[in-house]
Amino acid sequence: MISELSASFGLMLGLEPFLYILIGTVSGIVIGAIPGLNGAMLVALTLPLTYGWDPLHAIAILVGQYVGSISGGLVSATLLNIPGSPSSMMTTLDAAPMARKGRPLRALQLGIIASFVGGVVSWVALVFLSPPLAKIALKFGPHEYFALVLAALMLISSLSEGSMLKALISACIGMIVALPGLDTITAQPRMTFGFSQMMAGFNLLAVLLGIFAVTQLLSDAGRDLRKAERVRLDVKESFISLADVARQGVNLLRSSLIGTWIGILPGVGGSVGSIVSYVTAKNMSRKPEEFGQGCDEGVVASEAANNATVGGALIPMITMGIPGSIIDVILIAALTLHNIRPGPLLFQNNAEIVYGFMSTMMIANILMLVVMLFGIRLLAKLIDVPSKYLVPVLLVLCVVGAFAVNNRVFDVWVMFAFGVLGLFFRWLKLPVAPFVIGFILTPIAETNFRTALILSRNDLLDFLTRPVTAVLLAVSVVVLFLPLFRKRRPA
Amino acid sequence: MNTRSREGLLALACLLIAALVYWSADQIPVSLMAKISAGLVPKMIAVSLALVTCLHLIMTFKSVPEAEDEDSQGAMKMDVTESESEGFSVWRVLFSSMLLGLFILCLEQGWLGFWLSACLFTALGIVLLSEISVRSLVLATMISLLSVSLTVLLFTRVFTVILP
Amino acid sequence: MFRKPLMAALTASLMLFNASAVSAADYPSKPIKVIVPNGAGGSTDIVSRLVAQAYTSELGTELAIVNMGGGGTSIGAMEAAGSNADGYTLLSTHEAFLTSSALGVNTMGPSSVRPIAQVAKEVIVLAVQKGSDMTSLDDFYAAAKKGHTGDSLNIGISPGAANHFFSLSVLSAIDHDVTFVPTGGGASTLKALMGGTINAGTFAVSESIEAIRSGDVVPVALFNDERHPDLPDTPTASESGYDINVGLHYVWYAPVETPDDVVSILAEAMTRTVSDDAFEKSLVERSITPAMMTGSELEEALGSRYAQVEELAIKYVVGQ
Repeated sequence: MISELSASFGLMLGLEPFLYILIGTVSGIVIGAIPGLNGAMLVALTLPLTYGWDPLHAIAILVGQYVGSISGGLVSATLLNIPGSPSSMMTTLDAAPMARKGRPLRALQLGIIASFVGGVVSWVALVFLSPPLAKIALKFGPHEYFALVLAALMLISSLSEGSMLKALISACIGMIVALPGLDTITAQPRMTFGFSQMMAGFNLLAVLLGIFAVTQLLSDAGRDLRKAERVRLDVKESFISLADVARQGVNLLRSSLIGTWIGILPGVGGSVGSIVSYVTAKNMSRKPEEFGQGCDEGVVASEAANNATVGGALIPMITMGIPGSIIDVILIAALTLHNIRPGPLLFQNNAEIVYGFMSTMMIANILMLVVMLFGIRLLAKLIDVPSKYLVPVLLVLCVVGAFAVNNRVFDVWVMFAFGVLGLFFRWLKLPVAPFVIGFILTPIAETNFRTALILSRNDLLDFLTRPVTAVLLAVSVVVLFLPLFRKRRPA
Repeated sequence: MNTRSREGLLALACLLIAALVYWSADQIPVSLMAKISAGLVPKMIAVSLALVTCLHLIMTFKSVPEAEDEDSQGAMKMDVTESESEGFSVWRVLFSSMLLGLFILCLEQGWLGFWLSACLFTALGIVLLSEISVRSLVLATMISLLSVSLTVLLFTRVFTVILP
Repeated sequence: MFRKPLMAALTASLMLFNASAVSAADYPSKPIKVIVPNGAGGSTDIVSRLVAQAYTSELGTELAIVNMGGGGTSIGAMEAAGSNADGYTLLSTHEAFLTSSALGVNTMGPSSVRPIAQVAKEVIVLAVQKGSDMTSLDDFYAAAKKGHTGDSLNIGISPGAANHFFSLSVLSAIDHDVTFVPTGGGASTLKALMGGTINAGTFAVSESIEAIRSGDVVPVALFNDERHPDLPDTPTASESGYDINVGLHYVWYAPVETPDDVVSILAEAMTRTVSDDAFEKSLVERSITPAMMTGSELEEALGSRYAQVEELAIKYVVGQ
C-alpha cells in the first residue's frame, strides 16, 4: 500500500498532473475567496471541461479546487466579514473581529495553518482508516443523525452574546426559513403559499449569500467612506510564533477529528462540521466569553474542521461510491463520465484512481499552505481597493453566484430579500449565527427525526434504547445546561 | 427610536410570523404516507417562537433600561461602532438596496441583457458611493466595464453558464 | 396572488406569437438550452451530458445543459414548459416528471409539453440486504403481503420520486403491508440498504451494479421484458409469473406549442445520435440500455405510463 501510494505521489508530482493540481488549487482559493462564488459551483462548472482529459488530470484539478475553495473562504471572512463560502461562515465570527482589532495577518495565518492541519488529519484518516470508518458510518442511521444534529442545535444557546432570548428568536426564524418547499417525507408542498417557485424552498446558498454578503455590502455602502476605519493588512506584522500554534494543539486535533467525522457522514456537509467544532471549542474552552470577540480558538476550530471535512467526505466515496458532500457528487459524476465506476469495487478495479485521490489531496493541501502563506502580500494590495469600487463589483458577483446555483432569477430575489432582512437583523440587534445554524440544521434534524419515527413505528422510546443515540442525546442535554453551571461559578 | 419600541416591533413581527406559520402548517392535509403530519414540526417551531418572543417581551418591559443595556453590552458595543458610528447614512443603504433590486428586476424581465444592466448597476453604484466629479465618473465607467466584461467572459466563455 | 394568471396569460400570448413566427427552414440557427431539472452530477445530468455531446454534431449547433433542480424536478420542468416554443429550450428528464405531475407538485405536466424522443432507459432491479432470506420475488411478496409474519418490511424510497412509484408498481401485484422509509435518492437508499436500515429497495441497475458485484446488496428480480447483460443471473419478474414492467426512461421534451417540423428535425437528429455505435457503446458501458422511441409510439407509451403513475398516486399517496 505504501509503495503504491508513493508511486502515485511520484506520478501526480509529474509536470502535467502537478500543473493541474496547482491550477485547481489556486482557482479554488480565488473563487473561494470571492464572496458570491463558491467551490461547489466552480467544481460543477469545471466538470464539463474535463470531459476529454485523462481521468487523473480531471481528479487533479477537481480535488485541487475542492481543497482550495474550502480554504479560500477564510480570506474574505477575515478581511471583509463575509464568508467566501458557506463552510467558512463560523470563521467570520472570530476572524473578522480579530482583523478589526488590527490583527488581520494573525487571523489569516492561524486560519491557513489550521486549514492545513485539518486537511492532514483527515488525509491520514482517509489513507489509513477508510474501510473501518466507512463501516461505522454505514451503521449511523436516522436516529443517530437526529441525535447528532440535535446536539448541535442545542448548542445554539451557548453561542448567544448578550440576550439568550434574542439568540433563540433568531434561531427560530432561521428554522422557519428552512421549512417551505416540498416535504421530504410526505412529498406535499409546504408553506409555498401557492407559488410554484417556492416548491424548492429557499436555496441554502442564496440565503447565506443574502444574509452575510449582501447585508455586509449594503451596510458598507452606508458607511462614510472618508471616516470609516478600514482593515489594513500590515505585511510587516510578525509571523505568528510556533508557541501560538502549539497552544492550539488540543483544539486543532479535536476540531480536525470532529470535521473528519462529520465529513464522513453523507448529507451533512462542511458548514455543519465547522458549526459543531466551533461550538464544541467554545463549550470546552476555559474562556468561552472570548469567543466572538476575535480569539485564536474560534478561528482555529472553524478552519481546521471545514478542511477536515474534505478528507472525511472522500472516505464513503472511495469505499462505497456514496458521496459525502455536494462536491463529491460532482467528483462521482466525473468518474462516471470517464467511465470509471465508483462503488465498493473501486479500490479493486481502479486502485490508481483511489491513490490518485489520496496523493492529490495531500499535494493540494501543501500547495494551499504555500500559496496562501505567500499570497498574503498580494492580498494586502487587493484590499486596498476602496470599498466604493469593491461594493458594487462584489454585489454583481453575488448576483451571478446566486443565479448560477440553480440558473434561476428567483434565487437572486431570495438573496436580495435575505440581504435586506439581514439589515433589519442588525438594526434589531438580533445575532445572525443562530439564524444560520437553525436554518442549516433544521432540515437535517426534521427529516431524520421523522424517518427515525417511521422506522421505530412511532415509538419515541427507541431514541433512548439505542446506545449511540442515547449517548449523543445525553451529551446534548449536558451541553445545554453546562453554561448555567458555569455562570454560577465565577471563573 | 428607543429600545423598548424597537423590541416591541420585533415581538410583534415575530408573533405575526409564528401565527402565519402555524396557520399554514394547519392547512396541510393528512397524507397517506406518514402518521405524523408534515405540519407537526412547523407547528412546534411556531409555538416555540411565540413562547420565546413573549418571554423576551416580558423581560424587556420588566427590566430597567440601564440594567438591560448592561445585560447585552457585549453584542451592542460592536454593533454600535459598526452601524451607528458617525457618518453612517441610512439613505445610501436605501438607495443601494433599491439599485440592487432594480438590477435584479432588469435581469428577471430581460430588459437590458446581463452585460448592460450589470455595467449600469456597477457604474451607478460607484457614483452613488463617491463624490461626484468628472474623475470619479470616468473611473466608475472604466471599472464597471472592466469588471463586468471579465465576469461575463469567465462565465460564458470558460464555463458554459447562460446568464439571464 | 393575481400574478400567476397574469404571467400565464403573458407567456401564453408569447408562445402563440412565437409559434407563428418560428420557421423551421433555418432551425437550428443558435445554441439550444437544455434544462435538466436536477442538480449537477446526478444520473439524469450525466446521461443528458452524454447525449448532448453527441447530439451537438448531429444538430450542428451548441447545446447548453442548464441544471435547475428542486421541487422534485418541478422547478426545471415548469421553467421549460413555460419557455418560448421555438425549439431553443428543451427539457431532459425521466419518470420523475410524470410522478411530480401526478402528485400535483408540477402544475405544468405532460399536457404542457410534447415529447421529442426517448433516448435510453435504466432497468429497475429489486435488491435486498446481504444475507437476507428473501432470495426470490416470491419470498419478497410473501414477506410484504398483508398478514405476513413478523415486523413489516422497511422499503427505502424517495417520497414522490421515481423510485417510490417503482416500489409501488412492484407491490401492486399483491395486497401489501410494508413500511416505506424516506431514505432518499439512489445513493442514499443504497447506503441505507448496505447499513441495514432498510430491508429492500428498487434501484436503477447502473447505480447499484457495483454494490451488487461486490456482494454488499443482493438482486432479487428485474422489472424488464428481458434480463440485463450485466446481471445475467437475475431473473425478470415475468419469469416468476408477474407481469410488471417498469423502467426509468430518459425522455427529451419541448414546450407543447413547438411546431411539428421543429420537433421532427430534433427527433430525426436524436435518432441518428442514439443509433450511432460509439454512442450506444458509451451507454451500455454504463449499464444503461439504449431505448430509442419517437413520434406517436412514444406519445402512446408516455400516456400509458402516466395513467399508471396517476392510478398509483391516487391509490397510495394523495388519496382522492
